[in-house]
Order: sequence, then structure tokens, then C-alpha cells
Amino acid sequence: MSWIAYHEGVLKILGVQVGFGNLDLPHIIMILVGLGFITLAILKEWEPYELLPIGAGMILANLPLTGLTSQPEPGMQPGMAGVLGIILKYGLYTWTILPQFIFFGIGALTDFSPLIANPRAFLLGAAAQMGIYTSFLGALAVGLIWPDWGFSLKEACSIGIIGGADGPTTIYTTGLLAPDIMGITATAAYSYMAMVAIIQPPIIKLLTSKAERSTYMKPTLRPVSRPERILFPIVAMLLIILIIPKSAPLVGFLLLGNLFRESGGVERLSNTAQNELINIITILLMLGIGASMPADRVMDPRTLLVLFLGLAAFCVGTGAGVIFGKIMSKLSKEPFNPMLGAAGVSAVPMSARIVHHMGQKANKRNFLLMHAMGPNVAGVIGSAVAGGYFLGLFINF
Amino acid sequence: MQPTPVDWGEAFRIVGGGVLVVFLIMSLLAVATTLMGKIFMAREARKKAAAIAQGEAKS
Repeated sequence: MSWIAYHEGVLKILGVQVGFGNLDLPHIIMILVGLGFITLAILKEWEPYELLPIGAGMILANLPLTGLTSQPEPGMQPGMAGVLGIILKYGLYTWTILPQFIFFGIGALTDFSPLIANPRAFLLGAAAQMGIYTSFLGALAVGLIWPDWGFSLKEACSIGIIGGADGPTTIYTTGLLAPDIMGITATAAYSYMAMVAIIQPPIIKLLTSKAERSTYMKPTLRPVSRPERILFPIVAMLLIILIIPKSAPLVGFLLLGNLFRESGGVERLSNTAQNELINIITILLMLGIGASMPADRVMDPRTLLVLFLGLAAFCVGTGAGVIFGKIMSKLSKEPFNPMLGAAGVSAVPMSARIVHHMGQKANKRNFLLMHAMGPNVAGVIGSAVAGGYFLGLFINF
Repeated sequence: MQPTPVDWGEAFRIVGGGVLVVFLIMSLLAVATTLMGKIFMAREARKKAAAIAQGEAKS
């Protein structure tokens, strides 16, 4: 073999089979973004259970020639589908079972007592969903300004749902309505949840006076009996699903998990849902989300628009919650802190903690955590209802 | 990702319906939970009253 032929052979191997030869700028950028997520998760502890596997999935999906994201196809030879492709196809795109099981675990982890003790918190949970609809309209309006970057109705629904600040609902809704932008919407939802402490306080301060923020409320709520806690998920499940049947995969699993928790009769199952099951599903789901972001899908100007509209949805949701809180404060006979409305977005328990800390900062006697947990868990139900409503418009199971 | 013409009438119908549905369901849940709470609290109060009455009768 001549010297030139040898080098041509080496270059051919580098170009065809060696990863380095196939790395291009978009893939390098996505790998750096993945590394950035991992750094934020480890050093800043921003939603580490979500952002670390998302970052890892993003890196793996953007390394060239791995075949990890090859999805199984009929007639495909054995072993040709990649593990991330299998997770994507069966966990997120075709069967979409992973978000539902995450909701099952969340239900088993959630204590609805603060909401049962203070049912008007349901209304705050509803008001904070307004961001969803504002960003839905905003996404559609993009096409008026930049016709080439316009979003379809289904994509607008998926972008709007980021405003619920609810990861599994965002993933489930987007997986069925607009799978092409699922990775971005899910990442936006989890990233904004991680940034609650940065996003919410300025909005709350802008919309409330110091006197309103320092409104004192009795720190304790009435005790909730066990029969009430058992009956609540059953009544809520029947009521919601009979009105919005398409919310069943989310609401049904959330409240089923909660019934397991509160029944007291299936402790082992409840513990499994709260620990092993939710941990395993989190690994699969978040790796899948990361893997759904190959460079060719993400390197699009519309990605920035999705991120911006998602952030706007989150901000409007917080603002709408606070404004509704102010209305409730005016109508309430007892002192009512309007900041509680900001906890209506379903970033549990971060939003409730933010409201609690801001309440204590304004008035040291205030202890708002239990009051804020009510709208916070109501927000989880509210965003699942909003997601189910969107699905009902487009999907026939 | 393809640009698509927007039917604004349908878009606003979706928003109106969505807001209505979310508030309707959450209001119904609030009413149902309040009623449930009242029933269970009344039952607890009756139990307590009966226990007190029983205690007084014994003494």
C-alpha cells in the first residue's frame, strides 16, 4: 500500500466510522449545552434529579454514529434499535407511559391536606393556569410577525402548557400533540421550575404592596381526618374525569397514587411508588427527554421562541395567581395574604416555599407554608386538567 | 416545523373553553371538598358531644 493510499484509507475511516470525523458545530453546541445542564445540576443543585439525566441524554444523543437514538421500526434487524430510541418510542412518543407513572409517584408523595382544609385554594390553582392560555395565543401570534416561524394549534397548546410549571403534564401533552418540540418544552418546564426563586419574587413584588405581603394569617389549618383524605382522591378523580375524560391518564394516575398513600392498607405499594418506581421512571423519562434533542431538531430559531413563550407563560401564571389572590383578599372576611396566589403554579413545593419566605421577610410573625401548599397542590390538578382539555380537542383515543 | 395559517376564531374558542373548564372543575372540587369537610367535621363534633354527654351521665 502506498503512503497516499494509506492516508486516504485513514481519512476514510475517520470520515465514516470515527466519531470525531462526524462532529459538526451544532452537535458540539448541544454537547456543551448538555454539559452546562450537568454543571448546573451538580454545582448549583438546580433540579438535579431532572437536569442531570437530561444533560446526559442530550450528550449521548448528540455524539455521532452511536445509534443510541435509533428507534425500533417494523422489519428492523435485531439489535439495531438504540436504548434511547426504545425509551423515546415506547416511553414518550407511541405509548407515552412514563409521564403517567411519574404522576402516580407524585400522587403517592403528595399530601392534599392543606388543600382539603382550605378548599378556596382550588380557585388560586385555577387562576395560575392563565399563563397557559396567554402563551397559547402568543405562540399563534408569532406567525403574524414571522410567518415562517409560526406555530400550529397543537404546537401552541404544547408551548402554553409550560406555564403550568408541571413537567409530566408538559411531557405527556407535547408527546401526543407536538413530539418534535417535546424535548424543548420539557426542558423549559423543568428549567423554569428550577428558577422559581429568580422568576417569581420580582413579579410578586411588582403586583403587591409591602402591607399586602405582610398580611398575617394564622399559621395552622384545621386538622383533616383520615376518611376525608381517603375520600378526596376518589371524589376528585370521578368529578374531573367525568367532565374531561382525556385528563384521565394524568389526573387518574395522580389521584390513584394519592389513594395508595392515604388508604394506609397498601403501604408497600405506596412506598414503592414514592421511592423505587418514581426513581426508575425519572431516570428513563429524563434520559428520554435529553435524547429527544438532537442538534438538527433543536438548532432552530423557533427553539428560542418556545423558551421565551414558556417563560412568559410562567410569569403570566404567577401574575394571574397574585391578582386573583388580591381579589380573594378583598372579598375574604378573614385576613388573606394575596401572595398565596403565586403558589398556584404547580412547581411543588418551590413556589410555596418562595411565598413562605417572602411572607416571613415582610412580617416575621408570618408562617405561610401550609397556606401556600394548598394552592400549590391545586396547581398540579389545574395544569393536568388544562392538559387534558387540550388533548380532548385533538386526540381520540 | 411548517408554518400554518391560524384560525383565530377557533383559537379564542379554545382559550375561552379552557379557562371555563379549569375554573368550573376547580370550583366544583372546592364545593365538593367544602361539603365533605362540613359533613366530616359535623360527625366529629357529634362524636365529641356524645362522648362528653356520656362522661357527664356517668359522673
